[in-house]
Amino acid sequence: MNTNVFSNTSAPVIIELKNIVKTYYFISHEIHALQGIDLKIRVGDFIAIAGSSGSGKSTLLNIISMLDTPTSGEVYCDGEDVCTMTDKVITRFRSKKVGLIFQNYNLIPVLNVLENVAFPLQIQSVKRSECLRKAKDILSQVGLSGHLEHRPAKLSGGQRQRVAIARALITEPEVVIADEPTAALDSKTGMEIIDLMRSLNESARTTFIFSTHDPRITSCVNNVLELMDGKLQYN
Amino acid sequence: MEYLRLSLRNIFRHRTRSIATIMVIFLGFTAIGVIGGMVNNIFSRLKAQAIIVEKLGHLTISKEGFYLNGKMDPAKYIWGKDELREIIDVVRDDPDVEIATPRLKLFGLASNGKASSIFISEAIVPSDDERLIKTPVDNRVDLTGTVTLPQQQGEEYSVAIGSELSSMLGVGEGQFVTLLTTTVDGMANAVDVNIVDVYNTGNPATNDKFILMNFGLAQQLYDADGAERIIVTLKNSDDIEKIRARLINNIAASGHSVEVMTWNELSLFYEKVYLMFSVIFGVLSMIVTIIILLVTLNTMLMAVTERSREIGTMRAIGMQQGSVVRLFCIEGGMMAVIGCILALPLLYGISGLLTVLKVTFIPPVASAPIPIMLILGPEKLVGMFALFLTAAVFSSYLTSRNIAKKKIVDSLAHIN
Repeated sequence: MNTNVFSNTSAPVIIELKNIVKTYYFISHEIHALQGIDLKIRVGDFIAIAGSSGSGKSTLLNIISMLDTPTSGEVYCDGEDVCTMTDKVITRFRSKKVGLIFQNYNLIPVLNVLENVAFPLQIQSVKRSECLRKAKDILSQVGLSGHLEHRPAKLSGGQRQRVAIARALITEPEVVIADEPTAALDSKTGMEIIDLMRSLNESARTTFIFSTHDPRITSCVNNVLELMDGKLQYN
Repeated sequence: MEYLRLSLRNIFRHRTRSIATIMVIFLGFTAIGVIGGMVNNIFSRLKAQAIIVEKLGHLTISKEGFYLNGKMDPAKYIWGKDELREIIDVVRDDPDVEIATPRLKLFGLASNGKASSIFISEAIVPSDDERLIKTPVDNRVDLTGTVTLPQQQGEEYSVAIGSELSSMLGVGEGQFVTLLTTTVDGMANAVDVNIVDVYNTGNPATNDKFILMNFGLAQQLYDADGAERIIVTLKNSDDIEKIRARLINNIAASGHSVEVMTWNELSLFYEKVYLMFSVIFGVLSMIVTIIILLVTLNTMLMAVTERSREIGTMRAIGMQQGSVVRLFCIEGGMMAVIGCILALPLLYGISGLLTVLKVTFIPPVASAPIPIMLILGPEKLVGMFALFLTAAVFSSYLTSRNIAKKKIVDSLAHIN
């Protein structure tokens, strides 16, 4: 099976999935969310995972982002087998390698924009002044220099998602994973967010993987992985 | 520092709930502080009552076996003049001893010529007693309720009697009363004495029979030239057990076998009252601590439930399980700190008010009122603070450890 789904095969592999199966047990039922997924994601990829609701997009992204473990199969990130790591190690590993963007932004309401963005670095015990300096830089890249002191509640949906993107990027991760980042936004703002992610991908060669079920977005992204009933469709 | 900042903001995220929790801690700390301060005051007053008013001093020296057999064979347990002098010299040589004064206790009948009543008499050396009543107890010299006898020549027949005994006999200051007692050999002896003071001993068990008498007069009545006890006060009673052991050794080295009792061992009620109030205070403290634990538990449980998704986000972006627990423990701890700090001015305000108003009450087993004051020892306040802080942090730990261990995807999928 060709697991190198996209063209740039010379770039190093950052994430590799081997025969990933994820089964949920609900009372007496078994729900097969993922059924034997093999996938290699390379540095600099910009990938959309498409599929209808219940196709397994979020489950796949959770496993790629090391938030969940597969029922069977192997997950490698930067060559390391993440399935064998302890929670403590995997948390530290994830915070360095992966940036996360959530559908509902998941910003911390008691922190302002600047503090929200700086937070992942502060968790890593980086000096506060350094965290804030970097956060300001990234916020200017996403066009939010004028909103540093605002609390998330005072921002629009598009602005909140930009803050979430900035927060995901502050640790300079190799991969940014976004679960339906445009689902809570109108189509225009959604496209702006995708454009922003693409420009960041091109400028810093940061790998972006995101899920969507919006055909307007998949139509303007070159690399689209189609998930159906927990299986990748290679077209 | 970041955790502190974040915790503080989280506390005031749900102001009403946090303020309610802080209020419970505030009121709990105030209540326990007031009760603890009053109990400390009662302990201190009872201590002063025993050492000063009952004139027990810090230590009482007697012949070995005196308290067991002294009443049956008083002649055997009384020191002669020379023995007394030798022992007092040894005691006074101790660098920690302030006063060492001889004592006798007499029993008998007091009569006004028409009616009689039993009496117990403590015989004192007035000049030593004048110094004893000025002994500081818990850094406080309080002459309330104290009484002593005149020191001048010719005043040897002056006595002070308990107010209840005075009422029973119908005699008062300036009047005479006849004391009938026995000598050390069991012979009858009597003397007329002049009442110079009527006072409340502070203890209902003695107020109806107590007479304070001059030591020289008691020696005459008892037909003895020595004493049965030596009362000792110390410059600093913190090391009382060490000093007691040293005195026993030093006196033994001079060839005398003695027993030395501390004031609280001899005080009739102190130990019982101390135990009773300690148990009451302990139970109250425990109840208030449990209330604080449950209230904080409830508050943190609500916070943890509401912030499940946020916790999931924090875990997803790199926060360790232990750090999540730490964050909530700091939040719980901060509420305890704020509640306790806010309670301090109120506690000191109540203390000041009680001092100004001079409110008094009669504690159990006492016959004289004592002022209601709060003795707020810093070590007690720190102990209470540590207890409340531990309760708040522990309840925060209990509520947050499960959410910290929860799978991140489950926390992220949580819907409030």
